[in-house]
Amino acid sequence: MGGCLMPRKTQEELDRLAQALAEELLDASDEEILAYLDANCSLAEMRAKIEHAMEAGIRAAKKAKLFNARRELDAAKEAPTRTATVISIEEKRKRLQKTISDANSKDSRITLAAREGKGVPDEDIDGLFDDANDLGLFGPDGEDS
Amino acid sequence: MDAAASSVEYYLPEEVLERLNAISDADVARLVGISRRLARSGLSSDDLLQETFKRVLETEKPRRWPRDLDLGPFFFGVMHSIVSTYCKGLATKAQVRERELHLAEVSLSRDFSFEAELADEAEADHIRATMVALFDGDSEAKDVLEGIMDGWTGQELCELCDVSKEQLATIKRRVNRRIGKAFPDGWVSNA
Repeated sequence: MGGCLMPRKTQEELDRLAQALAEELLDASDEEILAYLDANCSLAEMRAKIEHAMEAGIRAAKKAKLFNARRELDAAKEAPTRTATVISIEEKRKRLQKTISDANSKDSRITLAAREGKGVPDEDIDGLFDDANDLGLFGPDGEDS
Repeated sequence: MDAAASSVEYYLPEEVLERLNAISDADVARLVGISRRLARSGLSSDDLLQETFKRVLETEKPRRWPRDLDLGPFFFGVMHSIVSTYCKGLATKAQVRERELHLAEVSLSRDFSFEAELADEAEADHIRATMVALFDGDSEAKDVLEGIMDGWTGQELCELCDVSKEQLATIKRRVNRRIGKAFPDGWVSNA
């Protein structure tokens, strides 16, 4: 290994040892493991340790769940919302006529039928209204701009 | 579609809780013992156990417990994974965010500065020396200890120390018990 520092060689040795010792406990029978008990910790203390860790783990898991819920809520709040407003055909026809009438005063090329809004079927009014809305001819609330 | 199949392969959350609430004395000792062997500076056995339970018991994306796996091997796998992640300094975005918001009770962050690395290595050297010194006057155990650290297999250790498989098992138990007593919370130099 080059360099002035042996990169984590000792740590790797300790890791290997830790793994081997832990695996040995894993492979030990129940009788062996109870005979193994670390001298400085009784079974009652170990059980208390496990119970404490379990309770803390459950608490942390609940917090994580709340955190995720809060994050989703924040994301939903930040997302742009579009409220669908139902506008009647008559209202659409009225608004279109007003917009056309206003425009007519500026541009005389608009046809007479369109100016008067007569003879235009309802489904065409729907399409015209949507097109005009997309073009921003109405104000933010659907009012004429 | 997979609900029935997955409930067969893995314990359901309520079954996990049931099993943990009825944990045997041997498994209590096993889990604590394993957590103590795998703990290290900055990641105590208590932290490790707590993080392990959190991962197993969390409701969203928990570590699922396969039905064909005993409690010991399953928890060993979870703890080992946490320690590896900690050593590599990896953390998921969610963990980082949780820490930022002080939601996580256990901090799994690790300092990777050059100074911290040097300090870690110095501490590891000290721990290694202390550990080897525990077996002064017990050359058999010292050989086994150093052989394990060097990565020798069981067969190689038997040949190296000129002992049988059974004798090796006895020596390893001696090593394990003595280290467990001297380092009750993993590889920390003030042990």
